[in-house]
Amino acid sequence: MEKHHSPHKKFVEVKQAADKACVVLDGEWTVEHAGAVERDIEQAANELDDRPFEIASGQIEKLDTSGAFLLKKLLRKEEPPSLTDSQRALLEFLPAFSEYSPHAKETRPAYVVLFTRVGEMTFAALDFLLAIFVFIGRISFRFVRNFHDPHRFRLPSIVRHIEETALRALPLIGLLAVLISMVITYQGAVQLRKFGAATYTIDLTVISLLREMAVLITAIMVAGRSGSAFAAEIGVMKLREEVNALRTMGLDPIEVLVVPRVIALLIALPVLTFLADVIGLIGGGLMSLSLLNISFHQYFNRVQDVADVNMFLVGMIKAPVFAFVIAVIGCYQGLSVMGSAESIGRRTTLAVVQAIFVVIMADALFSVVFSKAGL
Amino acid sequence: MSALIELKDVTNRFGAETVHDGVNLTLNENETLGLVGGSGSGKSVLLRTMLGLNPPQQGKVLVDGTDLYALSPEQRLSIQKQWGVLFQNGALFSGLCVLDNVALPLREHTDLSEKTIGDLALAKLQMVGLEPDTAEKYPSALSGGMVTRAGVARAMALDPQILFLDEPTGALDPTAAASLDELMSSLHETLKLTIVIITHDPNTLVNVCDRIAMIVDKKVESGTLDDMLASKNQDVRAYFSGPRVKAALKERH
Repeated sequence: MEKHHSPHKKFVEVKQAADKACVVLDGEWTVEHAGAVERDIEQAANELDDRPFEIASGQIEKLDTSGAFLLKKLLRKEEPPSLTDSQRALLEFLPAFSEYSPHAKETRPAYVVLFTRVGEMTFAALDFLLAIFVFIGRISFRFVRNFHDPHRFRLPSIVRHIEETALRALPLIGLLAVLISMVITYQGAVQLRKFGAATYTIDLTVISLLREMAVLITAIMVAGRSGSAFAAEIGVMKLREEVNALRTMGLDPIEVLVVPRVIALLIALPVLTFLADVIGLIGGGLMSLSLLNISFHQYFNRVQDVADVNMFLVGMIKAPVFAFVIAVIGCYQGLSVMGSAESIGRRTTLAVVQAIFVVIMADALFSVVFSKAGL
Repeated sequence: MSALIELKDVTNRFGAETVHDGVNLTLNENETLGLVGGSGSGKSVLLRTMLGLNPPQQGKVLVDGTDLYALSPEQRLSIQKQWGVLFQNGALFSGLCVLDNVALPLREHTDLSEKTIGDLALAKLQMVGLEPDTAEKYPSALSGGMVTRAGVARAMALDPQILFLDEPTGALDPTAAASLDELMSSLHETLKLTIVIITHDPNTLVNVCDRIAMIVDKKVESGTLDDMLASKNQDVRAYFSGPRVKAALKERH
């Protein structure tokens, strides 16, 4: 960048006169050479060492605001050198030189910071918990109120969200269900064969798929796909003041944005789970055929022996609960977006992470409850 | 006066809709050009075409005589570096504080020390009339007028040759708009800046702009304000003889 300026030619040069130091200015004081000008000034300042100086001959060829700023810094109180009128005007145009000092960061001992952080995070978590319950309360209130005037449920909106969250997610979730059941069947077959119990592979596949895997995989996919979409969509609407626009039209954002999404997901996730069950069973059948030489006919006979209605229901009953968790957290994070684009990214991440976390927690809780109930 | 940017028979289409049909426009050195036109007439599109962000379907954009869209990406970047742009809503980076927004181009393109970059960025903020205590605020905490000023400061960071402003006074109150007009005039005079302003504001047109280009019927008609007032085109005359332009002309200083 500084190749235009020959190295032996300096922007600022200090020459010693009898009583006073002289400073000679030269060259193009523009943003391209700003770094070199700054270094020359620094060097000159060292040589001058606070002694008074005067600007001697020499002419600055070109001056822009960056150059003028550096010149101002060099001059402080001294008289400006021989400048053209426009250069002088530029120098006067710039504000008086003032130093930028970033606000000093507070320095506290590490252990204080540690305890403060832990305390803040604990209270933030409690606040979040409270806020979520309030949010659920508001949704329930709206939901019940809507029955007075059923068109407030906004059927077109619900249908659109079902299309978005269920129909469009179907190929992906179908593929995952097949893959997961294949993996379970394969691993089961390899391990159980050692005990001569290879036929129980089908039991393993059916039980784990219907009770746990189908609904869990579906919920995690939907959290990643739709929970994030809810947070981002509502977040952008919040940032662009569309949410405020709704309020000023006398429309409740909970009614217009949140309730349809929650209802849509409450329908979509059970449907997806059911389909994942079916597709997963077919995947297990394919794997049994190729690995254990069990025909489809035999496979489905075995499936009917192993699976009963309760097993299917144990899996299915979780779906609406997970759906509610994902939709509520997604919408809550969306409505909590504030200020900047960065906030959308953070809230969307939070929506997915919290939803998956709570889904797995709830799944563990279900396991305990069902085992106590002997299901 | 030499031409900095020349648009030659530029045609922009979006799908079946033609926005510009053979636009010819010249931006001369050291002039303030006001770009006007009705809503949706494609002012911002034309600006993006000039900036190298929107390749036209037909025609050329010549910068110092070379076709902007025929250059390699590196060459184009080095030309774009000499331009400062204020986008319509400021386009400040929301993840950076105001000072860092201005300091970013300085950090990228100069080898000044970190200390000087901070001081210089602060000076630029003061130059556009922002208080030093706005420096550490984030864009989301600023008012519309402050965002515009900070955007101008960022556009001025590298001492551009040309400054492009997209509706700078759009979101401002009359006092703030007047002081921004003054700022634009003084930038033009002291820094010898070439400025392109997209605006609806009659006061800006009358007080700041040397020449005006108006988009009518997908083409551009340009000239001084007096040329526009005497234009053969009915729509152009109508635009400039409306009550708001008349009022601005009356108090012209």
